[in-house]
Amino acid sequence: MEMGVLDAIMDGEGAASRVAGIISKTELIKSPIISVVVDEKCDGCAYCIEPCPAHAVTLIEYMQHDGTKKKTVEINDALCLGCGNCMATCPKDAVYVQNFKPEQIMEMVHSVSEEA
Amino acid sequence: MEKEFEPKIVAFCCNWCSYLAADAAGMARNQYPSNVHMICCMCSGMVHPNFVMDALTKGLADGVMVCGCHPGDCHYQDGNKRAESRSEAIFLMLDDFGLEQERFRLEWISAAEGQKFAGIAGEMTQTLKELGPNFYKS
Repeated sequence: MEMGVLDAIMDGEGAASRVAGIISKTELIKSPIISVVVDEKCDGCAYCIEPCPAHAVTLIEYMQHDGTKKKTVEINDALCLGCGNCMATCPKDAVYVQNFKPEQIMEMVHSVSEEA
Repeated sequence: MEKEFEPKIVAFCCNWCSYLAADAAGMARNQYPSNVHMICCMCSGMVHPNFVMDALTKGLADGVMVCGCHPGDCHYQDGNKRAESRSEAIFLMLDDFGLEQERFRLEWISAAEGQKFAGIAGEMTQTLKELGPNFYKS
């Protein structure tokens, strides 16, 4: 799309005012549907980092109580959009989206099969 | 009289396009078979290949559809592209499990295409009626 200088300025001002609307608030309410990592299952393979469209997943490493290192991923709650790309990529079922746990989805499929 | 085989089809629909397409089909009163059971997902890229394979190999469904937004329209940038690349893996797995390729289908349906959704649901039901029941069912 071609855009003149005036249009470009208007466009920029529009974007700025939209941002101002968000950052002027002290609290931000966002959708509760976000990804959650199950730390016990995650082994830090980091397959979920690349597919995330919001770049909300980071690989972290921490020391456990017994002194061994544990690799795992961390979800940035503010960035996560809840699309579930990480869930579909995870080979260990270690990450799920709130309300869309694999068990919940399989239960829905089960209920389909039980219908007469 | 023997009852006609009624296939069970599980459709994973993305929350932003295909689920609304099903809604639009209802609003426009487009008839589609009741064999299609919809499961709402946030994005077609959320559907783990295991969901599809479990539904088929545990005999829970005769066919599975994954419906998402048209390429480029994804609410999450490229979720449907990833669903597409996963579907290639699913087709390979179907072969390994001895299932017909027609039992799985990936479709792009936008929120305005209620008619298309009804058409695809009808087509899928027809092909599965011809194929017969999933042999993992018994």
